[in-house]
This record gives sequence, C-alpha cells and structure tokens, in this order.
Amino acid sequence: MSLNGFLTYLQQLITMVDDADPRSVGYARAALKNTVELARLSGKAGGPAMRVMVRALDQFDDIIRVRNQFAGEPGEFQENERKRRRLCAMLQPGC
Amino acid sequence: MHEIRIGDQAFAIKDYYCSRDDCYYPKEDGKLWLYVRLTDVCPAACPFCVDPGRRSGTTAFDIRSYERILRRIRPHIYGVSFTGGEPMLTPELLDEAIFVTSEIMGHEVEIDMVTNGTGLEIIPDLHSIGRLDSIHISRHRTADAENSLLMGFKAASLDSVRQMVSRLHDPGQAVFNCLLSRQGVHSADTIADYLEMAAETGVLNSSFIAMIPVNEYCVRERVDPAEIDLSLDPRFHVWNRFHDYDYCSCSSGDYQARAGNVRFYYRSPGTRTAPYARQMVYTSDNRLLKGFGGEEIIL
Repeated sequence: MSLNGFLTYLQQLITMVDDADPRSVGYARAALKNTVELARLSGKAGGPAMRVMVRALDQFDDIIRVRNQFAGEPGEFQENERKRRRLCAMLQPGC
Repeated sequence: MHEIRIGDQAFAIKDYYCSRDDCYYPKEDGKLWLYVRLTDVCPAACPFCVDPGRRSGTTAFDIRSYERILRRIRPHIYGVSFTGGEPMLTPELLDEAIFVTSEIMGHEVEIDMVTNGTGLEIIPDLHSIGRLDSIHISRHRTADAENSLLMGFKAASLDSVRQMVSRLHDPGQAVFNCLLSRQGVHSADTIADYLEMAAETGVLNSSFIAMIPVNEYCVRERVDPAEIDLSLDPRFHVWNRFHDYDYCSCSSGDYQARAGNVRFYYRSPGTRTAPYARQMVYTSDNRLLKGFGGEEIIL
C-alpha cells in the first residue's frame, strides 16, 4: 500500500465516522487497526507509509477531534487532496 | 548527505526524516522548498522583519521568466510559497503565478501564500484559490489595535478575517502565523488566548514560530516555543514532537477552544545550523537564489 493510497483510505474512514457516536468511532478504529495489521503482516507497505499508518492508529482519537478539517467531500478532488496533505502533515513532519 | 546540482550550484540535501526518538529513517527523494517573492514592497513595518522591503513602488517580477525557471527546477521542488513583500499588492499577478505553478508542478506539490492581511477581502475571489493549500495570515497579537501598532500599519481586523474565512469553501485553508515575543504571545496562557481568538474568528490552524535574531529587537523579544510546556493545560493535546538533531524541532496538536477545536503547530530553531539546504528563492527581480540572501544560481 502506498502512502497516498493509505491517506485516501484514512480520509474515507474519517469522513464516514459519526464522531458523536462512540460505536461508530470504535468500528472505524477497528477497521483501521485491521488494515494496519494486514499491511504489516503482508509486507506490502513501504517504511514511510507503514510509519504513517502506525501514527494514524495511535492518534486516531486526536484525528477524530478535528475530523472536519480532514474529512472529504464527494466530487471535490482538489479540496480532498488538500485535506489529505493536511492530514499527512499532522502525522509526519513535512520537511 | 545526498547532493544535487541545480545550474552551477551544488546543494547538500536532507536525506532522512525528522525523528521522534533519535531514530532517523532514510528519505530517498530529498527536495527543496521554493519561496517566490512576487514583490519586495510591503506596507507593514514589523520590527522583527528579516528582510525589510520598500514601503511603495512597483515590481519587476516577470511571469514568463518565472515559468521558464520553474520548468528547469521542477524535479527538485516539493512545495512553493508565494511571499514578498506583500503578494496581495499584486493579486492578478499572484493568481497567474499560482496557476502557472500548478500547471507546471502538478497537483501533488504543496502551494501556499503568506500575507500581512492586505486585500484580504478579495482572496476568496482569486481564480486559483482552490489550489492553495494554505493562506498564512501574519498576526502577532490577539487584539486588533495592538497587532496594528506592532506591524506598523492598519493590519487586517478580526472582522475582516472572519468575513474572508466565511467565504472560503474550505475554511481550513486559513492559518494564522504568530511570532512569539516577550511582550506578546509567550506562554501557555497567552497561546491559549490566541487560539481562543483564532477559533472565534474561524481560523482553524495557527503556527507559532520563534523570531530569528536579526536585530536587537528580536534578541530582546525572542521566546523559544520549545521552552513552553503545554502539557499542564488539559485544553492542549500535543500530538507529536519531532526534531532534526539539534538543528530544529517542531510539534503539532489541537486545542479545545470554546468555539471548537483548532490545530496548532510550532517550530523552534535549534542551537546549530543544519548542514543542508532547505530552500531556493525566486526574487522579485527574477533571480534564483540559493536560500534567502544566498548566491545566485545560474541555470
């Protein structure tokens, strides 16, 4: 899995979450945890992507607190891409 | 250290990721950030300015020359900042420069602008507004009057920032840039006050940066963000803290304001200068420099 592929998946996940419903957050966290585990076991993710995945899992509750700043919107390609870069910048240093 | 050559200049490039725990992972595609100075004119007179320009005048920036050079250096760039002087003194030129940059660099490269708040009301009307990752608005005090006094001109009011942000399709594009200072924002409490102000204005992200000691004012006023402990205040959630040996460190997180959660970032220069290049600068008189005040690169 590439870093871009993972960020797209993560953005979709947090877009679908109902942050007012703990069950919804719990389901999303479980889905993320399984994806990260699958990437780890399969060896199909590169080092930088794997590190961002682990950070995202560790900080999932933090991400959810400000999810509106990262959540996507159907049909808004440019905006969704910008929000993925914003999300990535919170999980790894940009420079 | 990885080395690249651009024109007649060699650059040492950072070839590792910053670290949380002193483990530095290798980075294969080390690149540089490009700062584009659309003009050297700026109506503000900030006492901490690293590169004071002229208060009035015109710019010699030539978009075709910029386009030609950008095509040459494209493989070595990972982000572009439009700055000045004040880029909103020439909004049409800014709009065209963002468009040209996006056409040449593609959609994966980060593009932003830095403004002192001049012409804030027309920023949402820029044709290329959607391509900007962020609009950095310099603001160094919480209250309007104090901020204007410090910046030496009538800076953008909170009302005008609020109106501008309300017209953005993605309010997350707006970012406040704040230089920490002893008489201004300098502690967890004053950072909290600043972030409350940002949240009430609709600005969802704020950057806190240490002054570069370029003059006596900066030496006297300088506050290092790394010395401020945000962990004692439960409203702050620090997500991470990275460092690059003792060259610099940065941290980011979110703050629970009354008007909703906002993000913050801070960057602190370290005790040593990094042995690698971080940026190139395209000047308003159409020269490409090896960093601010650096040697000219002949392509």
